[in-house]
Amino acid sequence: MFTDNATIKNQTGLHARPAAQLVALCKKFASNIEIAEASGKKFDPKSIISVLSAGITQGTDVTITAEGSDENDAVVQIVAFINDLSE
Amino acid sequence: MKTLKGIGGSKGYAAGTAILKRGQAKPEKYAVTDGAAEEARFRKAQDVCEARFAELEERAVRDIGPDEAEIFGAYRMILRDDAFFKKAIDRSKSDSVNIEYAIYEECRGVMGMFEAMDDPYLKERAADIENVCNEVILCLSGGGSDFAIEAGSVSDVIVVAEDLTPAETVKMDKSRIRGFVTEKGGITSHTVILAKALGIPAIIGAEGIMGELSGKERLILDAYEGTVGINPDDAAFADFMKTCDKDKELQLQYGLSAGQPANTIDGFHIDVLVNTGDADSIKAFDAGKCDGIGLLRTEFIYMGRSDYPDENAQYEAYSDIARRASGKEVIIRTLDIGGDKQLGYMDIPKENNPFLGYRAIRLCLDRPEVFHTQLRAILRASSCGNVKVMFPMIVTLEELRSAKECVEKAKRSLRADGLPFNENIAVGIMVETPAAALLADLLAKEADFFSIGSNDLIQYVTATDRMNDRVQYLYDSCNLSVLRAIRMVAQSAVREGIPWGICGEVASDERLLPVWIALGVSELSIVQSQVGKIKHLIGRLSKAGLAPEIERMYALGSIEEVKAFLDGMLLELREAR
Repeated sequence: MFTDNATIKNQTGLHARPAAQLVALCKKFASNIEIAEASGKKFDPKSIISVLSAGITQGTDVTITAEGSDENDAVVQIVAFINDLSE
Repeated sequence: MKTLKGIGGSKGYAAGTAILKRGQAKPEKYAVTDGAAEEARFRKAQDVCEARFAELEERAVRDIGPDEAEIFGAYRMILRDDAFFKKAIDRSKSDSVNIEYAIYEECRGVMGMFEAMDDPYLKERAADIENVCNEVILCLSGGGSDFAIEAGSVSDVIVVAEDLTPAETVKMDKSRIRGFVTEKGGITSHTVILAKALGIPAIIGAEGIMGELSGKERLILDAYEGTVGINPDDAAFADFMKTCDKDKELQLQYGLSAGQPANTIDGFHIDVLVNTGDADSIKAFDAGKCDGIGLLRTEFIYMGRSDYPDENAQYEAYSDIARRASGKEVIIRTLDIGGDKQLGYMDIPKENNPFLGYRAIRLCLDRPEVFHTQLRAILRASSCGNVKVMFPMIVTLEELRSAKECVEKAKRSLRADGLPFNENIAVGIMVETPAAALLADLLAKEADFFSIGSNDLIQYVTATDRMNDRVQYLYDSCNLSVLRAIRMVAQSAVREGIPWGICGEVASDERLLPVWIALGVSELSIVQSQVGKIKHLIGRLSKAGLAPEIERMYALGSIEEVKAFLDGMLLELREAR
């Protein structure tokens, strides 16, 4: 299992395009991936409905956890993706 | 005639026959024994829907445009959300219920999560998810109502619905639709976007309309006012049709005027440009429908970030706009930010009175490195088009001189780096403070142009916070002091031979247009939707003819008299049509 943290910095949060891009990225990995907010609320980043219904807004701190054959890669790339978000 | 009130989402008039589009009912629930068979039914429906969305996407691209078609890409992604549909399949198996009911239940669960959010954007995404689930359920239950059948042979259709989904609207035969009325939906909803793209009037938020109608009623829509008239009598209908025809003719003329140069009857030319500075209006900017950009607000580049945007990021944004203006003027206003708009990384201290505080040019002169980066980016963009630079909030001559020295310094550093820019770039100022208006004679000798920021000028001249409801009555564009200040600025500019323009709300105020023309305005910068109308009006006025009239107006002694005088002129102009 591999874990790291990131903060959503873009103004609109995980909406539309960022949400779709995140799902597309996560689906490339075989590992089980989970993203949790500081409040403990979790969502499945491979499911667009789960990502959208989490309603992640600007300034949210999240913890990304992956478990599986490509867990390191998955977490590193997702953190990089979130850090690069800007609109 | 009964009249219902909503909000005009896409402006215009329309008359036609009401065709109701009823929302989807809850699917039937029944017990199943073979869970695997239900899953197989779902997989088949998923494929059918996928193909259907692809077809709708193609049709939307063809009939409406690629932007509206994008939604179907999002639909396909939702349709392929295995995690979500797996839950529905599991529920169908564990509860021994039919798959469409299981999907309905899962969808309701997700909708519950969205209900707590008040973000309008996310509400729209919730609607997307619901729409996809409904399409799948519809497909599983084999059918649903076909709009073409309901509309029958009606040729002028007004579609009335609780809400419309993109899938529904794309399927309709648009050649017969004259208008849309919905109970729900915001001004950014798909119905409105689609209606605007098709140039069809739409009224949204017409609560209770579905209950008032049973179908096939005669309706008249005034989407300027947002009213729906039900079953007008023949006289009212004939009246309405006359208004429609007149409006149609005017809109046609406005559309033609937008792309043409605007000259008064006596040959005085005025450029009509647009204000912009947010992603949507920048994207929509069309140099063929105006004379350029009279005010490009640059704050959007600084927002939604964790640190200042670097020179290249700014250069890319400015140069892209400059190129798209294809030689037409683009006036870039340097950063106009202060304590009222907090950007974390800028670290601006909180102030009691941000509109009189540390903001705009004051902040830029105090943070030379931030200003230098922006000026270099603007200067570089000046090699890609007709770019001018403008400073906000100027109060003293010294500020203008310091800011101009910063421009010279940026030029020197670009020369040293061997980067191209326009050596003769025009440097102008916003005239939005009483101080600048009173000093206009001296400022006009050192600025290349003036742009009157009327929104702030009114606020500062009348000492009225425009956000404060209790003193709104004082915030008045016909305030005599405001009109005098503008005349003072205009006369100074004309005397020094520099162009002067207006870039606030009053620039598109029909009533005040004769005043600006008489004062010899060179540029009006307004919202795109008003360009055609203002250009059309300019073409019907004469500068020389207005001058003595406006002279008389300036001799009047009260705001009420000025308003009555200008209203009288406007009425004359309208009747002469």
